[in-house]
Amino acid sequence: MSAWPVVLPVILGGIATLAIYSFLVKENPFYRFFEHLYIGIATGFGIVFGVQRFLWPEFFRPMLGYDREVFADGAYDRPWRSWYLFYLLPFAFGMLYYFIYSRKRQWLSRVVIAWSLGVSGGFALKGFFAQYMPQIIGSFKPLVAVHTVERGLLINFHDMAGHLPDDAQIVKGHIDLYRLGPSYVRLVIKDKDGKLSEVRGRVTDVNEDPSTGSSTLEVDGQERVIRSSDVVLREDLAPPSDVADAYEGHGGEHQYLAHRVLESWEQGSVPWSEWVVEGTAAAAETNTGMDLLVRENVTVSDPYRGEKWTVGKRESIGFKSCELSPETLRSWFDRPESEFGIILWRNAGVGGSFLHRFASSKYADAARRPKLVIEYRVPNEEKPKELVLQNGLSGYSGTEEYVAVSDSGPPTQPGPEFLLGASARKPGGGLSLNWWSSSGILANWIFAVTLICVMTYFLFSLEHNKPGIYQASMVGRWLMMLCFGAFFGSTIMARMALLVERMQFLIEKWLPAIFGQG
Amino acid sequence: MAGFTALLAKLDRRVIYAAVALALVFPLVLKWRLPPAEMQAARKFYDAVEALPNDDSSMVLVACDWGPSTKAENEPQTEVLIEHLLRRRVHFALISAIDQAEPFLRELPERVARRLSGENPREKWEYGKDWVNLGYRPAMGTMIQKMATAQDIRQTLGVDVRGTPLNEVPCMRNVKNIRNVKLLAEFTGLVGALDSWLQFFQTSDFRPPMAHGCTSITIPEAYIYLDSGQLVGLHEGIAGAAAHSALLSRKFKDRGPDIAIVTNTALAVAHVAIIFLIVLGNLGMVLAKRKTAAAGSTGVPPVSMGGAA
Repeated sequence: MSAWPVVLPVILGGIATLAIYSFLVKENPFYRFFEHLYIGIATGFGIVFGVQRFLWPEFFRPMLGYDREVFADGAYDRPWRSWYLFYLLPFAFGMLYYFIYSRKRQWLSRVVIAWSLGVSGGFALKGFFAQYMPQIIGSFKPLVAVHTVERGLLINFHDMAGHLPDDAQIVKGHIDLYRLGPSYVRLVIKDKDGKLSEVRGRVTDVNEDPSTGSSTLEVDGQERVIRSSDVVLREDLAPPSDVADAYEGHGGEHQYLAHRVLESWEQGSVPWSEWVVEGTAAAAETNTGMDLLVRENVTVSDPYRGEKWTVGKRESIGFKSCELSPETLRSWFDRPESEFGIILWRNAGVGGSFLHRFASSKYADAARRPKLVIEYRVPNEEKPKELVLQNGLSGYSGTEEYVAVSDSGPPTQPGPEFLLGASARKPGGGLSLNWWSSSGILANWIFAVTLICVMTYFLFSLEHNKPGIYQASMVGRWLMMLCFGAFFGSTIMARMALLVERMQFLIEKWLPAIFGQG
Repeated sequence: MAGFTALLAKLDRRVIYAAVALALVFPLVLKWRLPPAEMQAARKFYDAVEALPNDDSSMVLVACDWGPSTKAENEPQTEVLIEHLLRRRVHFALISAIDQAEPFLRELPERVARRLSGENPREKWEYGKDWVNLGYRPAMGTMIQKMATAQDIRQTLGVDVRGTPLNEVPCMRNVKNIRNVKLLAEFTGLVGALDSWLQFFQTSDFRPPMAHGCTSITIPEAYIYLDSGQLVGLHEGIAGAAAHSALLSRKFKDRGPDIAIVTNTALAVAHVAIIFLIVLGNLGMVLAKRKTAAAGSTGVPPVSMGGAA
């Protein structure tokens, strides 16, 4: 007998299910009874919970003073105050709604309705911007693979020649870039309304999302999602004194290229894609006909989860090193007028990631700034010497490093990666494999064509029989039908899921309960 | 052929209902499990949960804005998330703006905790320590705004569903405000529920990452939020829950099949049955048209389409 409280609802549930589905055979009193029963139960639920979860705790309890603490001796922590009865005011105001049933005093109900509409309107206005502005902003998508340079690191060598003796024989050299680990970061974030704010904190994880370029950062003990488009450089911000590292851009999977820059950044006509040569770094070095200086591919799915960097021979703590050949270095010193620095550039279209986890010249800790280390020999000295070129260290007073944002201007624009589709161009000039992705060019074209055609279809002030208008509206109608088809398919799926769940219930619970096996 | 055409034309719709029901029965009775398709949006959901910190000051808010009418899809979605959170020992709070969700808020985590304890007898998952049930909270829009802007969310909400002050609930001890909410996971099939959370669960400078589980009907609407980055992950109907479940199974090898995989298998079979019937119906229509055309040329009256499904 003790099983009945468990079994009875199952049996009743099965009967109710069959009763509701009996409508498929034909309309019948059995179905109608259970339909009304369901509506009745749902209403009952609403009433009970309305009283239990709202009227009692939010109205009656505080008004009657039942929310006061009671001590062991029966005394209350505070006396009941007569002003608690003020709770009756909003209650009475709400009760005016019921005058809707009075012909004579119906106008009183309109006061409450007007109030409700006003509040709802305010909510709707506030909610509209919060909900739809990101949609509207996200609708502006490029229709061509925008040719851009992503955030990288630029070191200029205009005047570095003076730091190396003329007769110095370069042995070897490398660029060291401090790799940012899960340490503190400093970001300048642009909010949705364009407000700039500084955020500091520890990177805990990276959300690899090419379509949004968002990262999850722990900031002051709190996590927040930051989109790459929100990260901006702010020149006027003083370097933080308590934060050692900084952070530029976003991403997850990394593939970096270091390039020699042969044209001035200000010219804005540098054909970046032409710099890339497929092959290993060594092969690239031998390819003297190209402008490529060093090419290092680094693929790390998530550096915070233990994967090691594979670039360079100096796998020292925190540093990533790009080896440079003596000939290349020599050329920098011999022909400084034709050198405009090095850009560390993520290989566009690879991995769909936007993260550059490297320290730059903006960092408070000079030891972690990028540096060029050159080992050289002077003819009369036995021991090789080391020249360290690093902004903020003695021995290098040249042009400071920059974080390169674009090839056409100062680093004040947001990262180009936020232009969806921008990463769709391969270094070689063609479209990358993800061009068809939701953030790719094809999707953008479909979006734009659909938008224009459907708008044309609904623009009734234009006669649809005119050439161009007719075709566009027809295409719009077809595209809408395709969308409706998708909606309809989804609807079927939802209904079928309900049926599956009920069948499951009938087979796995109801039948065993009926036959005493439950 | 003429007989077949006539049969299709006169086929009673109830025969089709019965055929679909029968098609569903087989995988359920035979316990047939098809591996679910990998879904990118569900993968993102999974990754978002995987990335969550499981310290005392972090909390996932699970908004179960669903009731019996969308239980079939929203329940497996919620269940798989709860399981994931419990396995990772990430604290979570269940809340709903739908009164009919109240029984599920209580039953679901307890059921999952029992299952997990069965799998790992040495480990224990307890109410209060691992999760808290905030219960049904009326006035959705106002309630969400109150929570979002609360200096102390525990004071604003007061007590849990059992009447325990939230200050005394262990997993809420270090949870103060919206900034402690590391993920908002919202499950619903209702129009407006997702919108309310999207609109109001944020402050002027903070919006927690939000993931969503929707019914199949609302998938097209939910995609736009995924695309714009307003959602970090999505369970697309039962298929999304099954994909998340499959990822969990990949990580926890001893994990048995859950409700999502089973339902998804039956759903797949149902879809195949429906597609077959659609093809059959169209075939009947084409044949009938041909016959009509032929009859028109010979003077034979056309076959009536009355009674066709």
